[in-house]
Amino acid sequence: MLKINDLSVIYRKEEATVRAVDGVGLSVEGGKTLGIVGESGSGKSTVALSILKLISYPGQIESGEILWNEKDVLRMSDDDLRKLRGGEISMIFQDPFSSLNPVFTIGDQIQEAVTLHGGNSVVELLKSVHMPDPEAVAKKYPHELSGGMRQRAMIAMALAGSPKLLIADEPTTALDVTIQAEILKLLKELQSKFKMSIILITHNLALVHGFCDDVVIMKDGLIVERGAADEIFKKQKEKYTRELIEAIPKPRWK
Amino acid sequence: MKRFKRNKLAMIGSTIVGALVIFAIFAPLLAPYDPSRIVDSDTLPPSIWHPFGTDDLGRDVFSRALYGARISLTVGLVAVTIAITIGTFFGLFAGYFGGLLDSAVMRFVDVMLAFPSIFLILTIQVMLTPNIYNVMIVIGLTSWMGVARLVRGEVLTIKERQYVEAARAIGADDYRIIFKHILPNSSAPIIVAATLGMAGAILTESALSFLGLGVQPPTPSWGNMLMDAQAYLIDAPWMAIIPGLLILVTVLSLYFVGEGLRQALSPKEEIK
Repeated sequence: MLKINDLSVIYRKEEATVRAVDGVGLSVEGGKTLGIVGESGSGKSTVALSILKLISYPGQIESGEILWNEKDVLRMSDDDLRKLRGGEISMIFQDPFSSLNPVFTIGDQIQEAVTLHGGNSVVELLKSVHMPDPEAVAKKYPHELSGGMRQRAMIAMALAGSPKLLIADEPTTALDVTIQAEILKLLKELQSKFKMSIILITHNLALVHGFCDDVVIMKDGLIVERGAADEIFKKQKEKYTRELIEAIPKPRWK
Repeated sequence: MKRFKRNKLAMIGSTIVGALVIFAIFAPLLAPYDPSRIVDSDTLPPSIWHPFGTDDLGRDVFSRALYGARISLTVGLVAVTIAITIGTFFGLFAGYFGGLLDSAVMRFVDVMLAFPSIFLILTIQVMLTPNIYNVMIVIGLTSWMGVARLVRGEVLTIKERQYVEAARAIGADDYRIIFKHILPNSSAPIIVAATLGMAGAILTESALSFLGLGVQPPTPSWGNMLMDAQAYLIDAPWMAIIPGLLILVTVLSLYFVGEGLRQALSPKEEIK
């Protein structure tokens, strides 16, 4: 469904040019989940933004192609691009608080996505993400909701266009551990309900286990290792992957 | 709102402005005389019949001051509306699109700011027929630059916020992002600038009318009342004191309101 070939993204600074993503290639099949794992600065978020051509100045996509159902996203017209964004491909971000516009109610913001892409009513969307008391929440402002509820609202917004691919950029990093599990469970449930593919971007390799089908490990703009998710925990080719696995906190006080 | 109420100066200011607006709206009902008709002997000192006395032609100063409030506040309001509209428009587009457009608009702003505005206004007014509409337009057209800079600065920070990126990620186009996401989030400084700008516009209108290039007699404005008073400072000081005080109090009140709004709307002041 999605195939990225040889993608390079650079950030131009005053003097130096930083190559954030360097010749990355990956693919996601329909209904599958791909995990992109790496530490900050590894280029994983840049890959995510590139898929929707959301890289803006001073960033620049240098080369490569991003094929969505055989069509190159990077060569699409602005109109097609807007239909694609939030339509067939949706995205949710790390910090659900700063991703919501503080001056509009939750309902207004989800309505915006519905207006742009058609689809279900606001309350239906909020129900599908198991928002408690959806009618009341629709009338609330972002600051009146808890972190978990905000992320549910963001997911509801992302679902408005019935996407075929959901890009989740560190969707649980800003949340409590208990809420993290709930959100991941919700994403899994929605995935089978809407038959979506998911790209999960995270720095926490532990999340990948049991959630993703495939995994790519990124470091300094390069893919250093790739494979099936359960394989990677058993056998690692790269030292860096081993380090990441060892970095998963284990209770030592047993 | 609570923080605004706690600010005493701002509350006094808004009470005075509110009262002036009411007086201005109901001037025809409240004014005891026709403001441009001679109703009594000239230069009568304040009395029960003429609370603010009469002027050099025997017109009632109280009635003239009431009608003058209408003119001054209307000019202030319309001029500020023009300035805010132009400034916000330029600021939004320059800040959002950046690049060449931004440089072009901001250099134009610099050029406009480089003119001493009072001389620019005077020159334009001399060329045009000096009437109240031209005063509004000219003041509006020469006072939008500050707003443009302010709005541009706001846009530069707001466009980097994640909800703008999120809006783009659901397929919103530039215009929707500018007017629906960025403009409402930059409204606080615009409101403050409008309040302070109105004070400035009222001052400029008074100055213009005082120089005879603003609102033309017999229509009363605080500025041209002051001009009429020049020759009678010793014989009829109330003619100068009344409009002078009104200008001072109005401008000061608006500044207090603006300052109060700034503090109430700015998140940085929260700690105090």
